[in-house]
Amino acid sequence: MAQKFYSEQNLKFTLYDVHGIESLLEYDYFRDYSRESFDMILDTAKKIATDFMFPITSEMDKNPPEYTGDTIKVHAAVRPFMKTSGDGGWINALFPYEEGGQQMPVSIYNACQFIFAAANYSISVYPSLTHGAVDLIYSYGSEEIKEKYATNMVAGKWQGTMALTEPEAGSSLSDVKTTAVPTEHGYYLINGQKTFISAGDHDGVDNIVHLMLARIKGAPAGVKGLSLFVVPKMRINDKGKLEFNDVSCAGCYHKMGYRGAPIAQLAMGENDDCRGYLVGEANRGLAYMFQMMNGARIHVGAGAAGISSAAYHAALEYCRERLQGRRITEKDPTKPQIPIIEHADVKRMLAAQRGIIEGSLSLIVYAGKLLDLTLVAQGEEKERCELLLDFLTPIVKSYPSEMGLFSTSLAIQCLGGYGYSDEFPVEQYMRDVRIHPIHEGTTGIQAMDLLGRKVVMKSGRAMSIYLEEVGKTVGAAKGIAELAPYADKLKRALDLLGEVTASLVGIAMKGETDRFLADATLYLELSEIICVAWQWLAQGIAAGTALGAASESDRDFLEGKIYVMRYFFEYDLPRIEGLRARLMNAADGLTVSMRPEHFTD
Amino acid sequence: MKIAVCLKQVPDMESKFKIVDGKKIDESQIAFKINDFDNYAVEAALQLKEKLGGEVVIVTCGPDRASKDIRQAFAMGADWGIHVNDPAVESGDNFVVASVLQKAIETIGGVDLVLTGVQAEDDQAAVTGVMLADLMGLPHCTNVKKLEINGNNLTVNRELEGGFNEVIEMSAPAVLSIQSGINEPRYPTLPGIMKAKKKRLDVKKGADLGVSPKSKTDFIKMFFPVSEHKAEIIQGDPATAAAKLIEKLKTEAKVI
Ligand SMILES: Cc1cc2nc3c(=O)[nH]c(=O)nc-3n(C[C@H](O)[C@H](O)[C@H](O)COP(=O)(O)OP(=O)(O)OC[C@H]3O[C@@H](n4cnc5c(N)ncnc54)[C@H](O)[C@@H]3O)c2cc1C
Repeated sequence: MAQKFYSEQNLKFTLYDVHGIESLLEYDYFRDYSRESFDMILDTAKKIATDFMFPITSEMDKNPPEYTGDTIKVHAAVRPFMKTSGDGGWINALFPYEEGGQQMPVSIYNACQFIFAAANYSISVYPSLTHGAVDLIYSYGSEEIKEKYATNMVAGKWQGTMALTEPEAGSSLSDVKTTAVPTEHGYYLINGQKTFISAGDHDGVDNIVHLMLARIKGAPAGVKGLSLFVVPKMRINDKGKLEFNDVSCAGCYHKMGYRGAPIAQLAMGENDDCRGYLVGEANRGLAYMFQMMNGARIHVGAGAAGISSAAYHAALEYCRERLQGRRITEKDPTKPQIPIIEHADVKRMLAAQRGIIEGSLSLIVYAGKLLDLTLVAQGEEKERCELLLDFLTPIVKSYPSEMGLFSTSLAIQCLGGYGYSDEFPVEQYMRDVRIHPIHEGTTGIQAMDLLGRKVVMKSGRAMSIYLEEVGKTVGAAKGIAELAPYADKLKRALDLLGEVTASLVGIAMKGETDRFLADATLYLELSEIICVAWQWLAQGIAAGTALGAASESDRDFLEGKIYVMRYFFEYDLPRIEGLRARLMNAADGLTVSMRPEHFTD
Repeated sequence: MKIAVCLKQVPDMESKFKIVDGKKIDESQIAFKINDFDNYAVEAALQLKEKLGGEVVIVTCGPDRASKDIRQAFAMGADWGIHVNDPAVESGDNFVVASVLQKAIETIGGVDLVLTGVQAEDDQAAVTGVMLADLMGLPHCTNVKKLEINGNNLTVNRELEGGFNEVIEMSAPAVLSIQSGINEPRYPTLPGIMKAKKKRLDVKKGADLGVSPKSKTDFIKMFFPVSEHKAEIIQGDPATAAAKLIEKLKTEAKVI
């Protein structure tokens, strides 16, 4: 029997029953879509994931990319996969019709990305990175750049990258040193080094096009002096031929997981012949990048949730089949052993994984829907969606990423010693998911974004919109007898969040910024648990509604859903009490006052 | 070249099967999809169309839910389709389906080639294509692994047991049942999915086609085979063992 890596039923339940994605069809922009076309898209993603991507997941892990001296040799499937993605319209799916795209709702696209990540995260990133790079070109690039570079990128012939990080500029992008010197020919001469650039060079495509941050000579220091450039590995010369653009691949790192996709070290301008083409206006590079950030960070969340989902399904199958031990009350050792899924502690581990995965997925779909609405809604509704999305983004990125590690670890635990061996796929998933708290802004950076910016921005308006939205769900659940106790719990959690936030903001008001932000990561964790509890309550409402007319097999699914909701409220939500205890004491500045010398031994 | 592809929607074999009253499957637990063999037939038709021009028409007998998979074939590139959606046909056997397909294909007119999958994944009868050819009075070939066309002349490889192929020459119009592995079916594309919605799909009843065939078989019941783990090893030297075996076959199993 083919192995399962995600639940189609749960995905559709989340899209249609919990978040009513079909309501997007009322907007003219999405007029050409229908429930049937959404389902066909999801079916097609499933088919590609099942037939093409999933079977080579382990193989790509065991045969990682290799640096050849001038490029990186990747798995032979990368080239046909890029072609399938280009021909299939996946790279340009989200773009408007005028750009040759298909105006697909992000919520559906992200659902597909979740499927792809569950099947094989490594191979899924090649086209999605290209999509991100083309998005920048379409949004800010000149017609000439679009025609010369974007065309081959959307076709899947050329790889796109995001080239920000440098050896001395990771979290701190204000320290980017790569320079760009203007020339009389209109292009700039680029010089510098980039590191950790995903798919930054490889032999699965004919060219690589970097969307690169660099500082134009004489530009201000810090992030305000960064500009965005298209820097191709092979540039198109006057005769329309490809010629080397002095971007050398200096090596690739060997990674703990996510091994099917290389991260390259790049050197630009070793022969003073690396041309960069300015995208948009000078010194606006980081602002452009940030406009893509919400989408990119939700995408990371979807990647993490997808990998955790694959680990869960591998664990679930094992737990049904593995016979070990007897019921605690069974004293007769001659009785047959039972499948481990019957042990309460094993059910706890499975429920915990579902709490994380399905809670994350619900949040990811919701964030995707908000992104869709920012595109089509007008006036105040549009602004509300934008603020809400800004507020939620660090949570949507970090919760699935941080908890993905725990979730995949539980999957290993379900398999016992077999889980720790590479005969079973779960150890790979734990290694693969570990990237997510790091790239696209570390958890620490997300935490400071949430507490230092999002909570306080516009005098707390984003946060109050968020609280209103959660309040609506609480209100709806209050009216349903079985859910009322959980509505109350969530209401109390919101009060706790309010109390902790006020206490922290009080520290900030005293000008003690370092103490205010010292425990930001704990504040992020607290916010995540409450936010995901909200998503669980919304799922509980949808499940309760669907139960009435449900068939027998749907009943199992929906009752299971309500069990996991209860699990989340009973086992996960109480963790906020511990976080509260610490955060209410944040003014003591415990870590702030520790000196590096205190770590000497 | 005008090509009709007969496509059947079947349960995903990964689904949970539950039999209700020994008569039918509980569909609420089933996901449906295109019969895998038919996917290869669609791909073969699309490749011919790309080479020689013409059109690819999908013909399906099935309930409402089947339209999803006809559109899936549209999203791969098929041009239009006929969906015979009639409970009377649905409850019939392969002969009924073949008779209806014959009439439906007649209404298209001028069809040069009819492609079917070798068999359906669900009933595995592998007779519909053959019956259809007979009803249409056309030459046919089963298990097609390779297909070349030159004008009206077809050269087809027919797969045999043991890895052998036999090469057959025949002329169009003809009915071919396509074996898996003849090609690599393409995935529907996203633009294809959007176009699929707008492609023509004629929905018909048996009466619209002027057919009301009767089944040639009687359906008795449906059940999961009971596996009986009964084996007996007959001891003794070959001569006595053989004698005992014959005795048992006569008296116990009553098969000789
Ligand atoms: C597999 C992989 C793929 C990647 N792909 C790309 C890519 O395609 N393009 C690209 O440009 N980059 C990419 N990166 C780089 C990635 O974005 C950076 O690694 C990341 O932003 C962190 O930077 P760093 O590694 O320099 O760590 P550092 O910034 O040195 O961080 C180290 C630790 O210090 C903490 N820290 C840093 N600054 C602060 C602060 N001010 N306050 C509190 N804590 C702080 C961090 O949270 C972290 O825990 C990739 C990295 C990896 C591993």
